[in-house]
Amino acid sequence: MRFLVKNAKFGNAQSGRRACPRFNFKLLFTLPVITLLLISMGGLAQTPEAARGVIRLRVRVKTGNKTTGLSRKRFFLLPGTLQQNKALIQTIENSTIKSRDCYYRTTGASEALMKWLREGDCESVYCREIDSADIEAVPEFQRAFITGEQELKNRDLARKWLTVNLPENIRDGFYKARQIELQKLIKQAEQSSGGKVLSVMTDTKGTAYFTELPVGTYVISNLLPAENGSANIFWNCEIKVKAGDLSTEKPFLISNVREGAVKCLGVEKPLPACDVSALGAHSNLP
Amino acid sequence: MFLRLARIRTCLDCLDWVRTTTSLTRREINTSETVTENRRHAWLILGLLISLSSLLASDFFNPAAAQRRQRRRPAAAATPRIDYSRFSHATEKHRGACVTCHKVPTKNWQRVRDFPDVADFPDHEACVSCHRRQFFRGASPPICTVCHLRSAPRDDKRFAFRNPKTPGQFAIEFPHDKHQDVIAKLHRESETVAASSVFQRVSFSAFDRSADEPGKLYNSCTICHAPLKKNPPPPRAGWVDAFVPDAASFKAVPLSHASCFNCHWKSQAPVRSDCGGCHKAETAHAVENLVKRISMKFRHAREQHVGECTTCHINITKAATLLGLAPDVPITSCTECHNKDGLRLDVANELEAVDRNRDFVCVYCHTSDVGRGDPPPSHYLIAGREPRKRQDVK
Repeated sequence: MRFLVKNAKFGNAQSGRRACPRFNFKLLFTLPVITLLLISMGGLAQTPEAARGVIRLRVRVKTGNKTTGLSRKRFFLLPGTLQQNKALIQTIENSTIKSRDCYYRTTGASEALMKWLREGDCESVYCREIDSADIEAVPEFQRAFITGEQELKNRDLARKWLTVNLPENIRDGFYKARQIELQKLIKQAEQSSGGKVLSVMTDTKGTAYFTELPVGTYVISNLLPAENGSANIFWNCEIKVKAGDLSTEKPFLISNVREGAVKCLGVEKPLPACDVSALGAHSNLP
Repeated sequence: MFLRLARIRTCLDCLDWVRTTTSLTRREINTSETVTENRRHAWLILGLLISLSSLLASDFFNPAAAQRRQRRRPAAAATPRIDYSRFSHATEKHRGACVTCHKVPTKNWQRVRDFPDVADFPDHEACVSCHRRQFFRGASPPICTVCHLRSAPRDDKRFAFRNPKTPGQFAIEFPHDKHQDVIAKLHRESETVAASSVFQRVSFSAFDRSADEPGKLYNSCTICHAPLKKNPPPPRAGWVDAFVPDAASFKAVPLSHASCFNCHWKSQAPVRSDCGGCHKAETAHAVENLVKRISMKFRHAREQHVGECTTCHINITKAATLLGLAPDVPITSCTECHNKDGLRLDVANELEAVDRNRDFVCVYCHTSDVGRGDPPPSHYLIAGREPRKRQDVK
């Protein structure tokens, strides 16, 4: 208003009329016009982008005397600090999710199938191609192959499409059981933090990237434990993300052993005891 | 609109008030500067005109107002003629369950495929049930040409299914993240194996071979993205700089159900009859959304480049959809080798060439359509330098 009335002059007091300020008309009309133009172009206006950062995660695991990158494991990024995610972390660390061997044992899987899975460090039958020797060795594969051959009238196709005739609990039951647990934890994390939980999977060397992250504090967690021999490893590591670029970001190294550049140590717990009393309930054996 | 008219009216009232006020003020102060008065009026009129035009413009560009205008328009008097030679899945009556018309698999699958598939158009009954009139109209009904090469009763030749010349009516929904979780499990390699041979295993073959068990084949991204077998066709505008990339530059993408039905034939959802599980009619095909190759000169099959896919494609393991899939290979994936002291300094060398001549085109990785642009800040950062623009080069 000071701008608008800066040139105000008051009328002659003797005239007996009310004094009236002289407005700056240029400003009086220019300002609303500019405002209106800005409002009408509001759709085109862009808000400035908030600062973004990245995390270059590297996971190494010591098994026996050998330290290697932890390959093909999914890691999650929870918004907030360790303190803010305390309840969730307690749930994660108290989790008694079945180990791979325990799951397949309780579903009544054959020893041959469990051996086949162990050989390739596989969590499911989708892990590798099933060849003729595998069909001969694993009874579950044999049954699925026979069904496929009758249906498709083609031996090679019956082998390649073998998984479509496997019982569900053998085919992807372990994955689905873990997914149920995982989705519960993700839901809890998103409800407590009010933010979205991101995830990436490590490559062969145990490296993974979280990109385009709003600056702030996060917890890197594997949510579901990573099996390492007879132990489960849980990582819940707090990290501060600053504005930055992949080109300059140093790796954030986490491990199960304290070594030079390790920034966060995983908690190792023995695998939960396997209750095989359920054996037979989901048995696939004839 | 009424609200806007009211606002305009208020402005006109305002003008009256201003006129009254100005005349009173002028009488009172008894000034003789008529030039100033004229200027003031000119400003008033100009301001009002701009205000009115802004209001009208904002109303014109307002989508809600546009809809209101559309509603007020009278409906077209005549119904448009339907071109029955064009089939659309978007038509209301064509949006039923897919198996109403399509058979999975079709009778001819053994002749044209090596796996059970939807390999032919639906039978006549799928069309005749509703389109009897169009079917028996004249000697050559246009509706026949949806599937047949010619509209003639004695020529029943059909297009290959699906007709590659017709535009796709569905977008494919594929969650990379879920598939990575179950199929792309990689056997932990032995540390004694040379890195190059590990890379060779992972990406060159259809499957990953374990170093410990040479006979075993492990699934990886290559079960869907095998190396391209044929050179890609040139783009409409031709290859930029006449640089023709060979087949080894690219990876294939699945173009049939072969990569899907081996798991999703039955039991594993979405199964073969649930076409909508993957084929989404709601999301139209958008060529501009496809991933673009920025470094045209990169060859996937080059020995040193045959690494694990996710080492370079860093965002693929979190991609839950194909829509909006962005090029996700950061420069750091390249500069592990291409900008290392004592090895190669390809990025730094080209940035220096830009320093010497701002019209220099970066050609080591790029064709000129990309290479003549400003090098992105990431390239400067990796070379340990401050980002700059070509226009700042003297």
